Amino acid sequence: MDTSQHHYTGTFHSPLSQLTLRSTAPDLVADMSLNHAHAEITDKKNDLTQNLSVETTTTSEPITTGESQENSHTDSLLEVKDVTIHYGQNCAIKSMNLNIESNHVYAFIGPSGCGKSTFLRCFNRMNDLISGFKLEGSIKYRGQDIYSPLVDPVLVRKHIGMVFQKPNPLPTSIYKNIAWGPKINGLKVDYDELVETCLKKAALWDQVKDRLSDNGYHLSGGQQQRLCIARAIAMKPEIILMDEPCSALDPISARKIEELISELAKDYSILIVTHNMQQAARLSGHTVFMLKGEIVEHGPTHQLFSSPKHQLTTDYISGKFG
Amino acid sequence: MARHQENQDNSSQSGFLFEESTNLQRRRLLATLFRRTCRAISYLLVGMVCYLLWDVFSDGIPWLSWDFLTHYASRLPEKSGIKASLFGSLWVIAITITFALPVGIGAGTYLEELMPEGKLKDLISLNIQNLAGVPSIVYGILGLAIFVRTFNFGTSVLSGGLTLGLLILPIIIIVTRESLRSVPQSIRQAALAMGATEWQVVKYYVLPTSFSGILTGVILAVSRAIGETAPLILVGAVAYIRYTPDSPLDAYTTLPIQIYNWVGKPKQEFHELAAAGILVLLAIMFLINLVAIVLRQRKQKTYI
Repeated sequence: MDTSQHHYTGTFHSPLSQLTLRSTAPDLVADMSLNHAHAEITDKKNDLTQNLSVETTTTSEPITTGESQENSHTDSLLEVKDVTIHYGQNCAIKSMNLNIESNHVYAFIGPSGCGKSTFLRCFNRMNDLISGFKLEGSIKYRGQDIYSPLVDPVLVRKHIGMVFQKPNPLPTSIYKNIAWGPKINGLKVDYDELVETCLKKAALWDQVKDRLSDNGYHLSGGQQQRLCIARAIAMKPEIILMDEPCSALDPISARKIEELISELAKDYSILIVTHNMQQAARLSGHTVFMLKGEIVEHGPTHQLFSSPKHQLTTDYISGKFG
Repeated sequence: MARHQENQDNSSQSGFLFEESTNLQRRRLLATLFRRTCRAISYLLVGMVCYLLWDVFSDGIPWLSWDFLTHYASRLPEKSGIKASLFGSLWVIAITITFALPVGIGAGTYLEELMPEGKLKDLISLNIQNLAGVPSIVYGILGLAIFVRTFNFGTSVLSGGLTLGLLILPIIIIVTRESLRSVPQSIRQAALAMGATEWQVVKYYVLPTSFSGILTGVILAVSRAIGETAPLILVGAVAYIRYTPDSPLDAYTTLPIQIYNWVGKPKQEFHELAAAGILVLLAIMFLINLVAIVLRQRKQKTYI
């Protein structure tokens, strides 16, 4: 228990360091990925956060001391190392390596069954629920192995929120849908205020402010999905995982959710799985193209879409398969 | 397509949509046949139940009175009543529910929601499924060996109630698991993704959502326990008794046993008394079902 306490306090500082960074250079962060000339800026940012993280680590004791020192030179938000995933005998992900940096939108594209959803669900350990799931390798969130036996998945899910493909409000009031998560996790906040800010951020407040006690299921599909996003934000996560959040919605609702996502990208790191390549192009700074459980190519979105390095990527983007 | 164009000029009374098809006629005939068979079977069953009810009502109604409920059994039919067996039945059912409900729902929840997959789980599930089909007399023997002899509860209400509790436990477990399974996975995922523990997910969302299903199953199981005779005879419910139980360790009789006893007597009046007893038993079951329906509907307002 003691170690997990330390762990918790350690990660708690990191969003703060990002905030300070953002306030000094807000517009730099926003279009970071769109320009080649930003390599230099990214370096500066690395230095900044590194300095900050050095300060914070002195106050807290990392769990996996040996390994975290090894990785202290990187500024990865998430570091995926040699990850292989099996469902029983079935191999879903083959030795995958990927570094994900903070404050970006990462899009995962690929044909159905390529393992992109499986991969996404690894980050908040939602795959633990599936029997026969086995993960080799390591996924580190700010230098901490989230699959370490000392880590409680509940704590991981607190920091890494998720929005699902099909809107899945809890069978309770709109208010409780949002306030329940923070409440059970013991966040000491004014719940009325939290519900209001979250619903406002999710662009839902004006439509539901007079009926917060209504059941979440009484909302339309698009509204339900925005409620789910509001619910995820309420936990004040650093990362939000989105598993095809627009695919179960009509085009107009989908467009609204998309606008919401690009709005949220200013405050959160977003990992989004999508079937829709235009959506990936519109929303993301980085795109990862996956095929049969492996990464074929990844890089800045504009680069991957305009000049893909791999023939398979070219074929998929141009619609030859998938 | 060509055919369609040919018929375009014709009036709306002819065309390929109006052609006769022997294949379709045959399929239609089969459908009608199936529907009528099903209807005939259900009417037959309802008819049989109605006949039984009419039979019982015509025999029993004249004997139903306040005296019938407040008198003990007697060798004189006109002085006989069901006070002892009515109270005995209520005692037994109360004990059965207190024992079987928490244990059954708890076991079902653990098996369905929390227990890791594996050989042990398969083994337990298989055993529970088999136990649900075991004849009730076997539970009587089990109750005799465990509660009456080993635990030394004697031939008491407690032994009877616990025996019936064992009898309906597998049913409650299976029904609980079945209703939990019908809760959409998306609700669990939603709650877990918000940093809930497995228990919080179960407590706040999964169990309340499956409440009505579990309740229905429990009511069915309890109705079965109320009507059960054989195992209680084995664990020592007595046929003739002139007092009501005051504590769980008292002797008792139950309505089905009283009815069974009266039916075995030669006098016609006792047979009619049995019918009256059956009516009381039916009324109790109806009341329990009513409570279940009310509870279910009240719950359904909050959960979809």
